[in-house]
Amino acid sequence: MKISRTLLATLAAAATAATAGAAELFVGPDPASSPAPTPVATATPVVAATLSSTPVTRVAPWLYRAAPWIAPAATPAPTPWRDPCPGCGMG
Amino acid sequence: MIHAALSVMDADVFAAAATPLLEAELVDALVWSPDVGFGRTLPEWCDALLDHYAGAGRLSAHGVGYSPFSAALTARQKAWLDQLATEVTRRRYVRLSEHVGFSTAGPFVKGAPMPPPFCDAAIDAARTNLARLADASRGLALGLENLALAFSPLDVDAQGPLLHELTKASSDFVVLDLHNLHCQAVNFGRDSLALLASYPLARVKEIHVAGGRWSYPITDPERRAFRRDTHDGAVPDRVFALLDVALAHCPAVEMVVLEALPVSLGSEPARERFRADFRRMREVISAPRTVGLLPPAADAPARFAANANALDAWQIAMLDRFHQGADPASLAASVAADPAHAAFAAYLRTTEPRALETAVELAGTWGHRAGDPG
Repeated sequence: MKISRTLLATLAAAATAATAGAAELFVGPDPASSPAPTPVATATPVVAATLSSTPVTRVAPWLYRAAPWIAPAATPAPTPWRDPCPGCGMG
Repeated sequence: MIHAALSVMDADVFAAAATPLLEAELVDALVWSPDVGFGRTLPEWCDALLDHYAGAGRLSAHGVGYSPFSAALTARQKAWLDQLATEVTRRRYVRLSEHVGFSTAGPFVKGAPMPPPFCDAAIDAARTNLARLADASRGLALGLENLALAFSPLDVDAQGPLLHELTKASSDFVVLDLHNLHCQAVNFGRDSLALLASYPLARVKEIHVAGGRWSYPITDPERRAFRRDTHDGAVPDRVFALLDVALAHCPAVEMVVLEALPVSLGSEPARERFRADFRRMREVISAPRTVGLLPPAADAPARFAANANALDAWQIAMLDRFHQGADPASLAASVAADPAHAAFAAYLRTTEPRALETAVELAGTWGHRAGDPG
């Protein structure tokens, strides 16, 4: 469906803001100069059970609004440089 | 003509992902969850985009928070209906859909949709709640979407009969979510085509496609992968294959919708993958196809008797266990042991801990009890 140039410009501005925000998201160690991540052993059932029974923090209310049934695994781990979320400004 | 549509997310990363598709005039229609906007101011681009498609008669509403299978109407649901009534007067939708499932009951005011047991009271409750939805929406055609999560193989086998039962009116329709169907098929070892055959395919007006991920419930001694409808990955090949088959068997389909959460659109490669999925979806829609035979559907499970009060008490008990993070291995037995839930005892014996574990996780993340902090 055709949409107007004015609406496209509004969308493009939001898109630019999102991609600019994303560029700022990952300010951190240069991956090329960082040591390789430490291999993580497969969790034992006991460890996994402990992790699983840990109450999940109610993070990302914007995700809840979008799709309340999504799995916890879909929620990005909150990190300092991801707050606030560039997508909706709510962190 | 079958429209290729996007599910709109009010996040700038969605604008970044969708703008090239919109600019190329590839997006025929949009779906929006109006309750996402209840009480909030949307970004300017989002409002303008929704208004543009609404003005062209190309905008569908897809609610996420009503909880049509809750046995007792709550104040929260009444307020939700009031807000919907206001929304449909300010923006023109072509139809409205919600999900199979109950997400709230008693003090539990937010949550993920949970599968309703196949009992008279659940069907009666849904019928009554859908009538309320019809009133609030001022006559919009109403649809129901099949659910991804099932506690029991009975839930999987009952979904088709449930949809048949609740979409009998001529204006009613089904939202066929193929990733949800894929989840139920792989999680419970069902033939996805036989499952498809059990749905009221002549009622399907919208088809949803999405990606997801796997989890590995610790309560499953076999550690089988459990498919989750997380909307955060590429659309699986299997779902595209199902789309091709579904389009051949759903003569009333008007649009196919790609769903993805903003969290999955945070990088340019991810956004390009989203656009590639959309283009592939368009290709499948327009491809020539022949109508083959579907395998026979499984027999519908027997519907059991339970009254509304018992269903309400059972829903509260289940949400309470989920909210408390109860042990999934003993959760069903603990509920069944209460004489108040006797009507559900046989059903509870068919539920699987790995599925209840998933419900506990979902409630831990998205569930909220009135009065709880946060």
